[in-house]
Amino acid sequence: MYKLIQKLDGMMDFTEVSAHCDMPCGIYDPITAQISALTVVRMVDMLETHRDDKDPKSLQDRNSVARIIAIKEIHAEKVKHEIRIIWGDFLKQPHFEKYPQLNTIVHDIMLLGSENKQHVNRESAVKLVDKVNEFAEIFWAIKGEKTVKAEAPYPPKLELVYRKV
Amino acid sequence: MILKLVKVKGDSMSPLFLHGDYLLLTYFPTPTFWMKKGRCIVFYSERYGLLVKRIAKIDKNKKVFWAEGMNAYSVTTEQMGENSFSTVKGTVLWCFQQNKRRKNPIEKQG
Repeated sequence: MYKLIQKLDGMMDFTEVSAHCDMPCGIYDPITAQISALTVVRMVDMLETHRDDKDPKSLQDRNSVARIIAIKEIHAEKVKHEIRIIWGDFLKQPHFEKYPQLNTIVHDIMLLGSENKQHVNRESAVKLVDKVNEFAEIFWAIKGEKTVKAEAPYPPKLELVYRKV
Repeated sequence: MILKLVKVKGDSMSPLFLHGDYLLLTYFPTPTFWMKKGRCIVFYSERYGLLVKRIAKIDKNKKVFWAEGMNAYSVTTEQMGENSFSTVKGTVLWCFQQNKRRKNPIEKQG
């Protein structure tokens, strides 16, 4: 029935009634968290290249490593921040009832985010990407959107869940 | 009774109505006796435009009502202020949900 009405809406353009909020709302997208999770993997990969630094004590190398670690820290925290926003502001009780695994996924993302701040571990960073992808898949299902999995067009070229357009 | 379909924009009426849901309304004129606390209505607010909200309080003598959202993100009853019965554009009869949540989403309204 909903799809029939949606088709009619496409033809007749029904009036919109606003369930107005006191702040700009409705803009939620896990892609920010997904890109940050990818960034964490990328930073781990870049750190690995510094294992063979000729002069690890040089000021230049230390500067580079410090910068990479700082970016890893920022993006791991950003993953947690973005997911918390969707969890706290967008997701409601009916969503948790329909997808009972949601809270566990969110909690796992929080733990993996912290783990990736504390360590340099590619396996853990990839797990973070996978978990955020899992979250994104449910998010888009809630929104009634289909998803596709595709390789990200930039390093580390891992698979991401995208909204199908 | 005239019926009308409208589309929900925003999430302040969640979990009752979500962004993208369609509402079936009884359209103009909405009889005064239909105005009841807890009922979901669509009305015109000069400040916010066409809103879908729930009736929080009614003064039938003055023919005014106060509205409320369903969650903390809604504009408050105070912000929406006192509204005349004449601003009501329809009462929600049914919600066609984008993602099925329960059999009749408006059966629990007051």
